Amino acid sequence: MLCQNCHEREANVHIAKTVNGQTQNLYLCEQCAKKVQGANFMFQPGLIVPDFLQALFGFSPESAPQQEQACPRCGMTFSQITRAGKLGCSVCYEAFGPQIESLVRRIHGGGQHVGKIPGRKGAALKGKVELKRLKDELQALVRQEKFEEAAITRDRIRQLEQGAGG
Amino acid sequence: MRKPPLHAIGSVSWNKVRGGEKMERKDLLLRRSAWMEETDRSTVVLSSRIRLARNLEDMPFPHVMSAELAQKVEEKLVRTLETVTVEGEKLTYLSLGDLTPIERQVLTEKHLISPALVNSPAGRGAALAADHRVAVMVNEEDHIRLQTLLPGNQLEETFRLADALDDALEEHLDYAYREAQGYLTACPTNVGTGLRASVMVHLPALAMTNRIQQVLGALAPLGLAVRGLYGEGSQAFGHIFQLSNQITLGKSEADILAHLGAVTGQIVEHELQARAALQEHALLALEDKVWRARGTLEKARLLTSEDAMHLLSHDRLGVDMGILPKPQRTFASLLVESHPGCLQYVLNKELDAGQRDAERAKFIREAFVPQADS
Repeated sequence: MLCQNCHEREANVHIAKTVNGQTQNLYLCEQCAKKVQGANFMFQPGLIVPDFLQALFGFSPESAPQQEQACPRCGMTFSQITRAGKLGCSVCYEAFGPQIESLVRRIHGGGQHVGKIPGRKGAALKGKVELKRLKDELQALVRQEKFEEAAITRDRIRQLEQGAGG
Repeated sequence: MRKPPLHAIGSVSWNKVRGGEKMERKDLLLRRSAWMEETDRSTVVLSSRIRLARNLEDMPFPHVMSAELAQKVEEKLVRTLETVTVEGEKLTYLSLGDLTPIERQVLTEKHLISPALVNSPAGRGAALAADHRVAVMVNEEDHIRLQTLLPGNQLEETFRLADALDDALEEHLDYAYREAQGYLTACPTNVGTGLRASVMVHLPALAMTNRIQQVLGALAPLGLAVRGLYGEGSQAFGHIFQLSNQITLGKSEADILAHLGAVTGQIVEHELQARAALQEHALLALEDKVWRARGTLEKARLLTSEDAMHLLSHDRLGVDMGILPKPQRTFASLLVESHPGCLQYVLNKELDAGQRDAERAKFIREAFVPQADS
């Protein structure tokens, strides 16, 4: 089997990385493995994040830009982002959606944000998340035939929905 | 009192937020950082740090901003930082352009700003709490890098402090945030929570028993990164390591903290076992090592940074294990304040490498000698 990175040398290193329950398999030659795994090795002097990102980008055939499309806000192209190892602005996340998504999946293992929701900006979002949580809870209570508690939860859902609608 | 010249009146408030006079700045910079204090949870874990990366929705990320735009963003963020308090206390903003190279070095050595911030000072700076438990970097890799630092093993408390300040800032700022991706950051390695939680650990016994690589090597598959005292690429002098989470998306802040906390607990356990093993099987050799370190620190006339960190590490092990009496300064203070920037800033003069080694030895001797004489 050929190395999945350089497609030249024989792959003799298997890297399996499990993040958030998703396993990613890479079959690499020794040279490429060193390059990619650098981020995980300790105290490799001179290892900088852009190198690491470039190595990651290199593994993503779909991320190779066919033509140089630029971000409508900041004007960065995808190859500039690759070289810098950084996006240009918040709009880049949408402008290069699939490429960024694939990159983010490689780094973080493909989860969605489940952390903090900003108070002011995320007020509406918080209600939405709470509503989903309550609906899940309602289903669970009904399954367990805890109807009295289910009624309370149902009323809270109604309250929240009316609040959001009005 | 000296009146400001007429032409400067328009910028009075701007000067004020830029950290005031040089003397006030010196006072702020030389203040002992809270994270260097010792608590009953400081054995092995010296300090806990939280960093939150945040960006403004409507501005390009700092690395693509012109100097002019960077200053505009700085101005906006400084106005916001002026309005918030941390546990009732106001922050003081220092614009990097106003600082001397030595002052910047002091802030870097004390872990209050990053080397990346120093490299391009235009429109950049940091807002500090008087005891340095909060340091908000402006226009580093992201518009806002909110950091909190506390002594010992207290990740939750450190996070709580950062989280509250983050809430206060968000009242005034439109953060770049998406439902699916969370907080958007310049580098996709930080997207999601934007949270980097880290602990600084001292692992001399694992090093002495040659188990350090084995223990730390097990961290990468757990999604944790290991760095030296001064971050990426820095050597692990003084047996000091920083452990931090790598994954920022797909996990909640609580999960990230719990995971790092649990692994840190195991590392502490390994270190304590190694210390117990040394005590049981090699007590005399251990005593010899730590007393030699103490002797050198008390008497040496020239010490390089590297020498000093190595000896201080052994000395600290001796103190932790009850073999040596405590010196007059904390371990973290000795480690950090014997670095070149701090030494030169305190003495208020530039020193060449040889002079620094002499001043370092003197600074360290002063922390040890009084007890040896008593």
